[in-house]
Amino acid sequence: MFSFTRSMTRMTSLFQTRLASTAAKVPKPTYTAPASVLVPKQFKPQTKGQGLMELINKEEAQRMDTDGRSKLFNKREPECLRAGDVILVETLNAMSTEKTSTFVGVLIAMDRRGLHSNFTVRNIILKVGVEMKYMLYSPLIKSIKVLKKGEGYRRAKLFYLRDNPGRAFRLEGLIKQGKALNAKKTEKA
Amino acid sequence: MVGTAAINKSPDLAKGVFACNWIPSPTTTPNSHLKMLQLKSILNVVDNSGAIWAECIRVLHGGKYARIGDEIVVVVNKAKSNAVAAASGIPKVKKGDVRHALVVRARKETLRPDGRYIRFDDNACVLLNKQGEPLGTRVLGTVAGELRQKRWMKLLSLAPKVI
Repeated sequence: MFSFTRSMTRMTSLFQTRLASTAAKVPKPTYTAPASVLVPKQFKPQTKGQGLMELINKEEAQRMDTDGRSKLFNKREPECLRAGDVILVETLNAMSTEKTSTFVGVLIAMDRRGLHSNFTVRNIILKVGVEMKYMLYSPLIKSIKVLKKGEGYRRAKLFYLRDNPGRAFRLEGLIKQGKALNAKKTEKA
Repeated sequence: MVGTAAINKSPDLAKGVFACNWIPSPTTTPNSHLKMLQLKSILNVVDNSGAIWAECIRVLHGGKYARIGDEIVVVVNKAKSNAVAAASGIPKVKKGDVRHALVVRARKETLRPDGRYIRFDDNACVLLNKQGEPLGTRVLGTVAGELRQKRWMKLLSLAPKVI
């Protein structure tokens, strides 16, 4: 039912706010930080319509993309990798040394996840299949070279090669070629 | 071309940045969710001790699962008659022998500190004697780099390929 007291209190509060708006405005006290404190001018990052974590990941990916390796994952670039390419990945053993270890194999999977983009390379070494999943933006990856472009692969993920390798892993000639490439590089350097 | 520019060696990267989805915490080790060899798992034996297959009966560090670099207790399921082994002084390993073994390859992917994963096509182990040293004198096939510890240096030197 209609409540008389409630309506009365509402009317009086409305009256008070109207009074308050016409009264002289007292300036709010401002606080100025001391000179030693750095106050950022921009309190909110410019997310440009995307989430904050997305922005952070994208910025970090750009920062880690020092040698243009993001082009390997960009379909618009001619250097883009495709499943089926034979790849040579040279990895630093540690950030402190210049020593590297290489892994040659067929690229069987590419996973595009921004900063965490990764790819899986498979090879058969001493009759045992070995798969290595590398993080594209890892600082330990020194270089990624394509030894041979894949032909005739009609899938994005070549996991069927685990059971039906066919002739996909006959890579001796390419491994030698890769080693020759590395040797040339070290000679030049 | 990739690899031509200088490597980004800023100080924070030198500490070893994790570039993967798994976030380390004080309670979890990097591979705590990636071990899969347990009781009843069958492994290939890749040394020249004479054993061919071995079945895991116990994981020695007390947990349920073992991974590359863990010691396990195995029962030899299949062995070959090994006159060569006997000649070079290796104790003859027969079917039904209970031995300690070291896992050297695993089908479940293992995480490395920089975010790399490595996976092999089979589970493999190497038999150990009571002193914890490898029983055989040769290792056949690749072996994971997770074994790079002082304890398994001899094994690494025997292995034809360490990845």
